[in-house]
Amino acid sequence: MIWTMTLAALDPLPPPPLTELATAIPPEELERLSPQALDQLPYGVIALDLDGRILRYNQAESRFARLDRAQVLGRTFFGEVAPCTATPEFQGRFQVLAATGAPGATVRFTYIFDFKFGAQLVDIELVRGRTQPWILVLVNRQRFMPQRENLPEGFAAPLQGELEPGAAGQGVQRQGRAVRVATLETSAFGALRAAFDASGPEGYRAFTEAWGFQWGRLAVVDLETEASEQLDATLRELPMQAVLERLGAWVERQGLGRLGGDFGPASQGLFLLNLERSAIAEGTGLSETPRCGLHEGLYRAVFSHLARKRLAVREVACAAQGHPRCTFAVVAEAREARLAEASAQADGDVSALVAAFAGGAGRG
Amino acid sequence: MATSVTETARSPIDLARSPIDLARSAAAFFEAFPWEGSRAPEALPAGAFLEGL
Repeated sequence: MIWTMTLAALDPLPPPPLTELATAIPPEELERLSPQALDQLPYGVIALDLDGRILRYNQAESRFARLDRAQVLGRTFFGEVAPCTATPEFQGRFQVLAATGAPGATVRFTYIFDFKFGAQLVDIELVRGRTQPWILVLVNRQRFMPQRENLPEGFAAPLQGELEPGAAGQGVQRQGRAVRVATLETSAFGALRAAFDASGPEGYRAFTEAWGFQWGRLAVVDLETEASEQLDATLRELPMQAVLERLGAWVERQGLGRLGGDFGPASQGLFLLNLERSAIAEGTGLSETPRCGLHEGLYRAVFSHLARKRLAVREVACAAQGHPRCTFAVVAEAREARLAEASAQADGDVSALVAAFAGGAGRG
Repeated sequence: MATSVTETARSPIDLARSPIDLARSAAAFFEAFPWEGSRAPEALPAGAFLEGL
């Protein structure tokens, strides 16, 4: 069904021109990206076959729409997932592009997505695939608004719970924004350590750091999505303390501990993160070496994204080593070696670490 | 002084969005919030602070 009323009848749309999508990646390259790589983009990407069935749905779109990707893949976009787009303005353009568009042909327009939790003003770019028989829908959120009133029944997009009634009975747990979660006992971290101890202890830090880094790149999308939706701001614009609080809330939601910052040494080109009650440190048990590599990678991803350059994060004291809390030092990547040297000298004494770092090569 | 996230987000910084003009953004921030004159690291815009590391 295509809704016959026009959007203008609901609410006036702002006039063109459109802003460019916030991507430096040309659509032809987007086509080649894996679903995992699409998940690291800060804007929505949906791939639809020429009948409008969902083939790909990236994490940013999933977060903004509050729908689980696993539950929307294979469904019809215009019929089941986004009935608010079954209009001449959206589906009509899609159908013309599907029927007559040359490979690479592009259509841009402004639209309003109607959800039951609010409306979103979006810039849409429809791109006819060059190498695949699909149409990419690129979605750049411009503004978040309250839910529009007097929408026809069935016009707004369904909530996650409406797409999967009875999920709770199938062992599915979800957080506030319909994000599926799995609850792990901290003994799982002990089991991870035991697996490395048995197969190659030296690989533990590199693996967990890399795992954390990949997870952190996805967390960035979560954090940027939240900031955009709640504050109409990007993280880079927010005060550092506010960013740290948001990151801390994210860490706490995962049950990983409580995060705080120490900016005292900032003039030395270094700042510290303190993690209280690290679930990983407590789960892995006493150790001679730091165990929270996952946090190192996580924070490296988040802060490097914000800095637009590579930063290095090192756990300089870990609760698993008997320290009262886990402490991480963040520096520019160029001074990573200097940090490692200072960390070795300080042997878990954070004040000594800061003094050693400051007394060494210093800034630059 | 602690920074109100909500107040900050309504500052002229918004004008510099997409793409972010950081220099303009930071200038707007301090113009709008002169009481941040001490420029404590935690009160700096995250992008500016981390770029400066």
